[in-house]
Amino acid sequence: MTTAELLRKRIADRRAQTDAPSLNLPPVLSPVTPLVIPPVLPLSNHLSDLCCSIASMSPDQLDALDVGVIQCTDSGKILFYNKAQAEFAKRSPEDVQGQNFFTEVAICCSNPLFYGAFKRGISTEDLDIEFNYAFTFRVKPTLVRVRLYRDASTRTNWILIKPL
Amino acid sequence: MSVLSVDTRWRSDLYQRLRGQADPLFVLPDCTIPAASLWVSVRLWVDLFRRSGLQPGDRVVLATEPSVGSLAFLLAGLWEQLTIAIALPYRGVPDVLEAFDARLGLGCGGLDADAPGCPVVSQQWALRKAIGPCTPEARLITRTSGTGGSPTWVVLSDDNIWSVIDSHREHVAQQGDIVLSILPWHHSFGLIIDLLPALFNAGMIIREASGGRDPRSIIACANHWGATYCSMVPLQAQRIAELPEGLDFIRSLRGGVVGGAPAVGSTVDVLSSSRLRVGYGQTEASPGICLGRPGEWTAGFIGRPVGCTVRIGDEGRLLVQGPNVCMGVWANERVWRLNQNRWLDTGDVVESHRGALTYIGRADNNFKLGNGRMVDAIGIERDLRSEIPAVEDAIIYSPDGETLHLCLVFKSAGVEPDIHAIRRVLGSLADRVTHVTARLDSSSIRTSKGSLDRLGLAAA
Repeated sequence: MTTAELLRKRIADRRAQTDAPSLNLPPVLSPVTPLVIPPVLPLSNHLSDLCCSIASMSPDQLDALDVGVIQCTDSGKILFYNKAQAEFAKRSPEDVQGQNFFTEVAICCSNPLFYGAFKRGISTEDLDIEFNYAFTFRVKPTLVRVRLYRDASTRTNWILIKPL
Repeated sequence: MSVLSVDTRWRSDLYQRLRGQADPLFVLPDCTIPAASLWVSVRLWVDLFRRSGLQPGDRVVLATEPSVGSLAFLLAGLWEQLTIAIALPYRGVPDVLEAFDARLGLGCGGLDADAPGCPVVSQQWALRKAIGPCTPEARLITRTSGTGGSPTWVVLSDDNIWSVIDSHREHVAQQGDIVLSILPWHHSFGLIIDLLPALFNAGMIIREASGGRDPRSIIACANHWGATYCSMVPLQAQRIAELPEGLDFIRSLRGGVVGGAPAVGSTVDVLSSSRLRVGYGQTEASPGICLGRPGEWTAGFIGRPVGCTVRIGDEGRLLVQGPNVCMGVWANERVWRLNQNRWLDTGDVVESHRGALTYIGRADNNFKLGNGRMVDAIGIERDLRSEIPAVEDAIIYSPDGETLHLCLVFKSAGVEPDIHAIRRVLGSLADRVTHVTARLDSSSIRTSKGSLDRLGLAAA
């Protein structure tokens, strides 16, 4: 085989290797799917409507919601834990009352995205952020929509959790 | 470093790192998930493997794009000591399980994962029966990129993988780092040098939505999350730096490894002003061989050996020995074990200066003319770069075994090829040159990693 033939063979081999993998499998390249990361999503209407009235709702009204609701102090101590959230998380409201949401109840939220946003919002008196998150409910990770909200007039903090 | 045997290190380290933990937090295009929830997804995959009767060394195939599911599947496979074939390029191919004689595969035959990474089993899914024996010492089967020769399927053991994770640990992502992941996870560089160390060390791991293909998206994502660490290939660095905010982004990073191809030209200048470091290796070396220091860049510089021993053999070829050298290869539906103490011939020609290595070229880029004369292409190309300062890169090749073609890549416009200098370098070979092509922009003749696409250029 001449050098030219060798080179042509190398080129042909290289092309074959680039296009078609070894193991005699046909080339199926993964499609490029341009996705947009939505780290902070547009505020949802449902949770926005809820935020407008949540500070004035009674415990019974909060318990009737199909959205998980947690009220906590500026430091994260739980003041109220509604029935829906208790059902999602399999925790009784009595057990978690008085515990710190971020460091004792939902430790998986104690990271820069969740707790970091909460602390920033408290320090700036401007907490109203929504994002998707994967909680572990009923021993299975579940996608949820989270809304962190501080009601300026009552200075109360709310964590709303809606499974997607 | 853990004193546990490698058999149990996956379990020990993954348990400590993930179970009940808020971080690392994984931000992927389809899901944001904390370590604690990922841990549960991993356990669900482990349960499925056990219910399916899989034993250590049973082969499984991972053939999906980066996702929480692919990560959970991978970690569960490591936990159960399965042999995981990283076969993303073959996604959707019906016989991919046969190709690896695998029992099951994510993205194959009806087995998939939902957004938080939990198994999704369709009704038509069935466990495949393996023909060959289990391969308990083989942990990963991963494909070489093929830029250095024929692409092959390399088999890595736990020892191989951990040796690189351990030797590189203090030089890669650190505690609290916000890691921007833009390398493919199905390639050993993205997996073993970037993803796994980040998983064990970093605070957040953000998978950029375009998978590293769109420099604008990379910069936007990095700025949004405040990324502190990002590994990349030179071509990504070059494309990022070409954008208005790109240089600021690269300079803002606390760290990152740039590897996969030698950095040349203006990319070297960009990286010299950053805290990124060069990384050099091949999949056959798991793939860590050398690292440079932050901001230590010159053209072709590939760093110093880390966690292995190197020597320079015949023709300047770099040889590697150590625990990172792959345990074998996968071919003809079986694992072919190789001598673990062998010297791995990288096929790369390097120069050493006080232990610091500089990449010169590929040994197999030299060729013979029809009259039997050997053409030292690497030496000629190196001399052209050094003799003609305006030349950033040079390729010499023969399309027919008789004549020579020369392609010169210039650093800036308005420079004429210095014919006298070319003749001086080529000597008597200059009479065989029939074509000299001058290019300014080399991006169109580079591979996806940034090295010159020599054969593609010759074929064009």
